[in-house]
Amino acid sequence: MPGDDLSALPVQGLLDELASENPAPAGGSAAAVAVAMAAALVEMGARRSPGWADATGVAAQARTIRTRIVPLVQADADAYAASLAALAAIEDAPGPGRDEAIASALAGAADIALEIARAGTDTAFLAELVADRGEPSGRDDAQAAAVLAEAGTRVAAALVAANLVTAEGDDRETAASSCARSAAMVRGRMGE
Amino acid sequence: MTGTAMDWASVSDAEVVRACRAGDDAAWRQLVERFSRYVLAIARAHRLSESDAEDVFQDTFARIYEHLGRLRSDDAVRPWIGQLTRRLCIDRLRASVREPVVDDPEEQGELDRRLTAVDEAVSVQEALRTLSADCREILDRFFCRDQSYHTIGELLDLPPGTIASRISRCLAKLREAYEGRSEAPPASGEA
Repeated sequence: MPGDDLSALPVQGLLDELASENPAPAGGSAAAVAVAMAAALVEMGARRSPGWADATGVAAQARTIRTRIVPLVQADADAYAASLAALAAIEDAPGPGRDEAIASALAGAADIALEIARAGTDTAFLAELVADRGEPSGRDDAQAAAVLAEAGTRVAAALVAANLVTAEGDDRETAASSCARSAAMVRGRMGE
Repeated sequence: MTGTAMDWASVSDAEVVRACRAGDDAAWRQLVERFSRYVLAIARAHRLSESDAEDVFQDTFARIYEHLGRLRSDDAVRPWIGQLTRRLCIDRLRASVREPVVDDPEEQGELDRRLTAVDEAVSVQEALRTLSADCREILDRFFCRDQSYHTIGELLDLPPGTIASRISRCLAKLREAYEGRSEAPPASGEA
């Protein structure tokens, strides 16, 4: 559903779009939604911790991350659709500079996936703070947030790697895998 | 107070006003620089044309220059400039045959919301100026430049896991400074 706004759909509508035979939206959009949900859970946990001095600041940061990531649900679908269209055009007209053209077609999708991965890692750090210092009753939701954040980060990091498959040694792949490791480490510290 | 080699960032509005009254040219430049965006934002909130907004800008600072001596409380310079600018905007709209003065309550409400947002943005900017350079930098990097904790940590040589707590503490200081400024005395000048 490139061109419209997936983030404005009700949950059922978004799931229908993900389930449709269209190639986009796909994993990147799903990862962005996972991270956005994680950020929302973190915000809730902070808001429900009035006795914690940093709660307001953590809630503000979680809200900022959520605000940043919501547009990426659609942006990733658009970038993925554009990549597929560009790849199809290259397939139809192979010639000199083909590898560069493929790399260029995939680069936009890699940038968005990296943004999702970074937001996911940041959200995992915030979830850990809420679990450690927020209201004890919010710990389960903070853990849920960390799991969602890690999942979204790992998916996004895998997409960065997939989109940069022709660009060996690209810093973005290193950055994305570092994000995935950090999110996993944070979630691991929080236990099961 | 002289304007040479002055670190204006740490000088309060009231001190700038006092330096202006003392005839410090650099203080006048600082006053204009400090309030330019505020005045223009109010003019644009009134949906003046660019040329009308520029006229209001010129008129406002001319009036400030002329009447600064009448300002009763130096701490109230911003609300005074805000009132003065709003009055000049309304005069400009009344004089314009293109656009009648807003009398629709809904439009007036929208205008009030925009002006409130302008005031809040300026107050936040002023409160930011009172924070340490470290706090200003970390808030700027996260909220304005959209940098991740990892990026900020690398740039500032801090573990990424500590960035969120630092931001929270700086936000708390910002809130304290903002709320302190929100309780500033009301405007009492005449123009």
